[in-house]
Amino acid sequence: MENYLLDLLEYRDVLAVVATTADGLIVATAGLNGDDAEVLAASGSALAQHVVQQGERYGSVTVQGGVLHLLVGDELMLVALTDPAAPGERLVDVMDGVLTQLAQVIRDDGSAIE
Amino acid sequence: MPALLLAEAVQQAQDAISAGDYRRAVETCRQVLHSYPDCVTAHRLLGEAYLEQRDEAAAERAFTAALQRDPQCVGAYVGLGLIAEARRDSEAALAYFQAAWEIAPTRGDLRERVVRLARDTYGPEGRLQLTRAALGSIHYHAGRWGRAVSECAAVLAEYPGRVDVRLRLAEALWRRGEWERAAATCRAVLEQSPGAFGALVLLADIERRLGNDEEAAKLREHVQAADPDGSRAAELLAAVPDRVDFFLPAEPPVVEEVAEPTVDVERPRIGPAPDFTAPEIDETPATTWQAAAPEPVIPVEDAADAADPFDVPLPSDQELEAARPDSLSTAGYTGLLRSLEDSGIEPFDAAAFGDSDAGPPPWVLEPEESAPAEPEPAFSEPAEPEPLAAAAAPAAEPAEEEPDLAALLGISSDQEIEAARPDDGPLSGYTTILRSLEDTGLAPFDPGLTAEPAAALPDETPEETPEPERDLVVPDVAAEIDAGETTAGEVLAGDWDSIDREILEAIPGEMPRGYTDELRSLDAAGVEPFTFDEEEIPFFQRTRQDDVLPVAEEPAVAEKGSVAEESPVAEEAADTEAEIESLEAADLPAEADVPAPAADAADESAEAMLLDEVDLAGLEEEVESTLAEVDTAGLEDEVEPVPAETVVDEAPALPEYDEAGDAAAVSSAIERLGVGPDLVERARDAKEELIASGRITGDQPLEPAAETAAAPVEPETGEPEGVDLAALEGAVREHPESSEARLALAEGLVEAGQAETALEHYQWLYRHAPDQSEAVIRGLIRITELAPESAPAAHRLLGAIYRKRGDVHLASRHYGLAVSRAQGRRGERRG
Repeated sequence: MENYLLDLLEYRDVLAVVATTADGLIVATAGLNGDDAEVLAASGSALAQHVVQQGERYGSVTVQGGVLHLLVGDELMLVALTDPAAPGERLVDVMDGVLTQLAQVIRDDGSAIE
Repeated sequence: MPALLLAEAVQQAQDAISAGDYRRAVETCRQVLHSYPDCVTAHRLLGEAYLEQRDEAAAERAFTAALQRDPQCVGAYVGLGLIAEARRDSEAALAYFQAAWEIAPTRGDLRERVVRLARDTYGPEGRLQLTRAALGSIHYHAGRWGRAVSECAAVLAEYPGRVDVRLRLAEALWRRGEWERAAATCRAVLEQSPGAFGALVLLADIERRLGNDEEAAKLREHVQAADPDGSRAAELLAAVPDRVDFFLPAEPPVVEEVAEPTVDVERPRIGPAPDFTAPEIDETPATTWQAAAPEPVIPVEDAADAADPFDVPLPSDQELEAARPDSLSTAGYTGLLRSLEDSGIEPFDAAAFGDSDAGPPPWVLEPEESAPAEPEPAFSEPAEPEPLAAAAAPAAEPAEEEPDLAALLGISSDQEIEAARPDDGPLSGYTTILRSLEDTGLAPFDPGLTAEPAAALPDETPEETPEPERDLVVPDVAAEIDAGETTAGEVLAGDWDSIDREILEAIPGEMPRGYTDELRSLDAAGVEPFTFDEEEIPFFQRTRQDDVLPVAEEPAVAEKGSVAEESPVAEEAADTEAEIESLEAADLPAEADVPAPAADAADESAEAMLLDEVDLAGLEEEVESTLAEVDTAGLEDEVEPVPAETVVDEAPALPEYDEAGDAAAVSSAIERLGVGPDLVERARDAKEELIASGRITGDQPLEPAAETAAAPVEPETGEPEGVDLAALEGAVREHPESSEARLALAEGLVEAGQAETALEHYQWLYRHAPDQSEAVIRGLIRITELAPESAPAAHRLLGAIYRKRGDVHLASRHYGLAVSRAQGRRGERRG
């Protein structure tokens, strides 16, 4: 699954990506590992509450030095850390494609661990 | 009965629990534990069976015993959690279920239970917390042993008493091949929990690996005590199947049958029906009755059955009472009666009723001192319940033979029960409530009074001023007709009128019914009805009222001289006209030019006519010319800037969602979590490392949508840009044993679309560089995505890698994919 996230890192504005479950459990990471990935996942969960509360799937929040983007899917969430100049709308399209692929992998394999 | 294999016995117990035969499950588990007292599975199943039987204490003991032998027994934690829930100890239940979920974080049922319990315990803020212990388990199951070790070590630094986490740490260290550290951790586990099965298995395996066969054999004995058939050891050592044999018993363990008391089938008795004639009650004191009482004989036809234990008569009530320990005598009805004795109330003596001269029994209530002191018959059963005072009245003729029957049957009378009832006891039952109402002087319900109006209810002393009852007898109308006194038509007409009157009389007069009665009640209270002319609402705000006024169609109605005789609607129309005139007199702007909205609504034809009369184009031109004449620049100069605060004060906005403020709060919260410049910088560095390693290029722009799809890269033949295959091949030729060089070449070949060649290098890495397995897995998955023709071989190699790791699930899945993809390829070729 990490390969799908690496596809996102091919974009020069994307610095790190974490795929998590709806509960915030990390499924796959790219660009960050260990505690940093956990922090990113936890931040995604915090942002998810705000986003879902407004009936949205996508949300972003600017932090010092970058922007945190979140896309909520049916089974997984995708959290991406980008440069401040990253175009949000285009990123949503890209993230949506990756999220769809990840969901397909989970449905096909029955396991997100690989 | 023959001995049973342990596996069969365990299966029987599980089946019995599934079938709801918990008693049988308990018996089976006990049999297993008789032979193998440390069998973890039997302890757990015993706990489950007890729990289903609502024997929480026994279940708790069994689950605790299971946890002492297996600190990672999820079922035991779940059982203890359920027990805590049953005891309404939600915090303890949450702790148990949290521990169970931390051991098995992939189980959705446990996760949902933890979420629910957290909400129940801590309210809306309660939620599933991803703990480090759960993370350790996740990493462990995912094969990330190093991360599992770090997470478990972090947990233990904070909670050194977590045996389950320490055992997880030992497992992760063992999987990493750190034998010394793993052995030390296992010993630490055994210090905390001497029977910990997992630690014994791992330690035995490590000792064996280190050549300490004697120590390993000793440990194996302990392991086999807890896991007699080696099934759980095989489960734990699935990654190294060849190490499992050491723990398997030479012969399959069997469960010895526990000798149970044999119960003969009761033979049918063919003799005459037993004599149920009540024997005479022996007056011997209860304590000596048992010895003195002759053993009753139940006639049985078959003399040989006399020795049958089932023919022994059951002990009588007296025997049971005599045999009851003193400590239990306070319980039940016996204890209650004894307490009555202590309070001075004499026990019931049925024989005393036979003697009418003995005076009234002490429980007979005597409301007056002058009441005749004749005994109340014990069996005077009135036809209907009577008040207490009536029951206390002396009976005229005491029964003579009934006391004997009472003595024989030992039945207490109502009076006895009433006398035994505590005086200040709480009211219970309808009878007592009605009696209490009688004490207050309220008369009982009389159906004959229901036809009276509510105002004619009887007062509180009905006996003194009795109301004459209404004659509710239906007159015999048919007889009157037959007698020629009246005709059927008269009867019907007269009857309907009388029925109407009766219905009207029967309706409670003071109760307002519907809007009409409510309005009448307002009239009675002096509230004036609503009138339009008293309202101070301008007519242009009365569109709904004006809609009903036919002003435009009937202008004659507006003449004031005829208003008084017209309908209220016409009256209101006249009022409105007058109001219009007064408003016109008040110099309202251009009212005459505006068509009356009342006319618009009154009639569609009139509306169309009026609209035709309006010159809309002219009005628009007029408005535009007026706007053009306005010197907006001058107005802006004239208007002084108003402070924003003043505007807010003058027009307070409705409470609305402060999106910007909320986003700022989320942003600050996320930064507090640690997402800041440092993290961004670390992410940037990590990405640069990825770019430097050649895994990503990282230079695609996000802007042009058409060129930057995140879809998998199409396989390309030839050498991709930035990959120098010749240099990579040269490096491999120069250092054929270098796994890094071989890996770089394999990845380059994959990107270049030469999957078959890349597979050869990945196979070499699989055999010679197990430390590169993660990178090999990534490369092979890449091949399955980019090169369908090589996917079967890649999946086969992936299956081999996972099998080597001990992940049977993933190994079998990839083997299956290899087969299916190969079949698909063959099908494609055939097609």
